[in-house]
Amino acid sequence: MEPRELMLSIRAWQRTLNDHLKANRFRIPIHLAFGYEGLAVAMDDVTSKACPVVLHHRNIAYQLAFQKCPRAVAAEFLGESDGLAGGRLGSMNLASGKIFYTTSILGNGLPVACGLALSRGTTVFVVFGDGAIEEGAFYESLLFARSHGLRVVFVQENNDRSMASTIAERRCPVDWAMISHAVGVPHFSSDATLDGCRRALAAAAEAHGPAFVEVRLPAFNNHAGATPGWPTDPLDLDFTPEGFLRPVEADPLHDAWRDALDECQAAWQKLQAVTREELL
Amino acid sequence: MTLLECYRHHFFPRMEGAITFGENIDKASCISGLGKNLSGSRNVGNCELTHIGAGFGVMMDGGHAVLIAKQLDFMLLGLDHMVNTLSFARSAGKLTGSFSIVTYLCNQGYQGPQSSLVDLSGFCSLGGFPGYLLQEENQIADLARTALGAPGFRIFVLPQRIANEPVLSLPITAVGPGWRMYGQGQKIDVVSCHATLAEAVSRSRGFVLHCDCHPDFEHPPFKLADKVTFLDDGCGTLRWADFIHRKLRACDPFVVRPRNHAVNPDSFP
Repeated sequence: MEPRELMLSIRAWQRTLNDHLKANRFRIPIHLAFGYEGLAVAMDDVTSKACPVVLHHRNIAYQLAFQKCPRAVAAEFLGESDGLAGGRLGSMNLASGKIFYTTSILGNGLPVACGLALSRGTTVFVVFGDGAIEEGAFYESLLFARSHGLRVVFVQENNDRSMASTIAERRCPVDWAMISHAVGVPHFSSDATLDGCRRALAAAAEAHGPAFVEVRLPAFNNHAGATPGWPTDPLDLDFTPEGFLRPVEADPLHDAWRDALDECQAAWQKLQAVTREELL
Repeated sequence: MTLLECYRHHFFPRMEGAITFGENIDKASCISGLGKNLSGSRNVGNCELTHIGAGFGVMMDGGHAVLIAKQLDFMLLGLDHMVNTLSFARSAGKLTGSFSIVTYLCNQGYQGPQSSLVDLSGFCSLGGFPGYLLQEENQIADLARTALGAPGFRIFVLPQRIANEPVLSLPITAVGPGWRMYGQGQKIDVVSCHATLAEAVSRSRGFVLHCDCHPDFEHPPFKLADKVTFLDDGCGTLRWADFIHRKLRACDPFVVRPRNHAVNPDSFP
């Protein structure tokens, strides 16, 4: 599947999963990731079977990008035996294929990624949010990886949210480039676009030691649970065929399809029917 | 041979090929002797949470990791991994490699309020993993052979009060899941939990049942005496001896409930 088609599919699959979520079909929490499609597809491109990835609870875009099988993901969420992990791991701990480990504990995956890099001696990608970076495990792991020359690529998804709190509402601002520089770790940054993420991740993987990638991501619509959700749900994205093409600032999907919007809209409408059939 | 020397003698050869690491593991006292003359070890910074998470990373990748640390209290910083990461590893079928922690139990006397975690069983019960208090030569040899590199996670603890004392050496009568039997006679008259093996042996006129902090404990195929003494010097509110008592009572109606725990007077203010 072409990368931008995969991005569109991930958006459509998530939208259908959101319908399930609204209908209370899942007994487990699901964390949707509208706006993460570019990073997820870039990660799929840059990593390979031999390049493991450590994720956190908001991992759905990566699962869909890596597996390209929304039915297996949905089955896992439903606890069914034909789910990606036989229905045993649910959503927040779902790991299969090149996803080595997935954690629901903030910052918990960072030391595990260091151990994995220590064991294999190869590049390991560990993904975490701007909330996890406030945990002590982040600083410890950055130091540990640098001190022992471990090839850990620290990928921060900066969506400015920890549940309902923005960064400004919960802590002082931090210059991550300076933090990285202070411990001798190269720093890369990107917006949420596919091309930007690809460049940053590929450059970090070439560092042959620890590297830090800061990705500024939009977190569209409700940050937790289904959308429309909380009264504070910003409803950035409109999923109707008419509203779908309305430009939304920082939407990586819009960026990827900017030269073929009509084609994109047609593909979106087609996907709606397919994904509903596949998942419902 | 001291208990500490005995541990090194039996454990170090079995650590070859494993990723061994610890703070000051090859410097100065080498972690009060726990890492002395251990070849190929890695000196690491002061970040126990990351050490323990990294150990689990190695284990889940199928490798073998041994973390050597100064005392059990410090391991509290990595409790998240001993509970949550371990739980993931079990569910995901990733108990392929091994991860062991070797550390001291600070039971040599009162060292202050922040060295008072004289209780291994509390740790073990939270994560449902085995913990072993090293106290006797044949036990140490057996654990080095059967537990150190076995798939999964466990903690080995040396009671620091007796670490530099001559090691107890007793023939093991029988071994089972979570227990070792010492002595001779017809029935079990003393059950030893935590760091009470020496006292248990001195009190017994039959068999001593020494129980590891092991969640898979199974009733040994031996009869119990009419009166059974339970010894447990763990300082937690919940005693491993109570867990063992429940297990034994489920199989034998004549076991009386333990009332008087033998508490090491030096271990807690």
